[in-house]
Amino acid sequence: MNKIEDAEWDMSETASGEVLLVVKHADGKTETVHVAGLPEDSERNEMIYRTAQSVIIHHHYGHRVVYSMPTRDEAAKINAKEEETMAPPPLAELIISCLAPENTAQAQLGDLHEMFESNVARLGERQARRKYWMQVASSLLPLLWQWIKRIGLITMLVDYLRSKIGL
Amino acid sequence: MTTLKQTEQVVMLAILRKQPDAYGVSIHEELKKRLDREVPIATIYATLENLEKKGFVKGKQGEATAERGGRAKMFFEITGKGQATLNASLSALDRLRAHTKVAGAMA
Repeated sequence: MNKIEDAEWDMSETASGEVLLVVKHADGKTETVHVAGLPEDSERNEMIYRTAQSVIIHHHYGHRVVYSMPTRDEAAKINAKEEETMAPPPLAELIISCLAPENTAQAQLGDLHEMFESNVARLGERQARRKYWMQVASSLLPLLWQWIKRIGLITMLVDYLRSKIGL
Repeated sequence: MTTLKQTEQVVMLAILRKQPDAYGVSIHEELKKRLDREVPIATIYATLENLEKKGFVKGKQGEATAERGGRAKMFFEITGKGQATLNASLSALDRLRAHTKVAGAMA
């Protein structure tokens, strides 16, 4: 018997691949829980343990647990949605791609993307987005200065002032 | 002789430390680790562009990867001219610093 808090549980598999959990609650009463729809992969044992834990914590009788695994299409949709939300903020990317020099814009965006991905894994998506925006905000001044130099704005301004002053 | 600004010195030193894997993120991480401050990616690239114009560093396009949103890395290495200038610049700083006592400095 396995123990969770003051309760004990054990399991057996039926011929149809379903699982029967036998839970002996702390008050001494025994309950049999039918668990259906479990996957065949590595998550199976973890799910059985979690189910036993849940049955013991939510102490009432007459449990019947049926898991429904997402179909391949549903799983693809969930993955696509996760990938969609994991992308860096598009507006921040647009700012960088507009202001950065053409020859390094893609490399800069790639670097920011790489840092975003590692921040998502380390700190979560919300913090990663915040850090991305902070990087873009701190990059604004150097990028603007580079842009001004690139388009020769200062030279144009000096020429204009010279022509006005008559030098 | 061409002089180097402090930002140029630190970026070149970071490239030397990270070679042959010196690109935007690795240079950024190295500066964060050694200087204990965040240098914006755009500042690093602006410095690298200046150094490239002066012929002190050379950029090379790498492979595009999925973790970078399909964008390629840009690797940098210091040229012979860059090494000589960095060496001269750091030596000048060392000569200036020699026999001076700065309060709180490590021995």
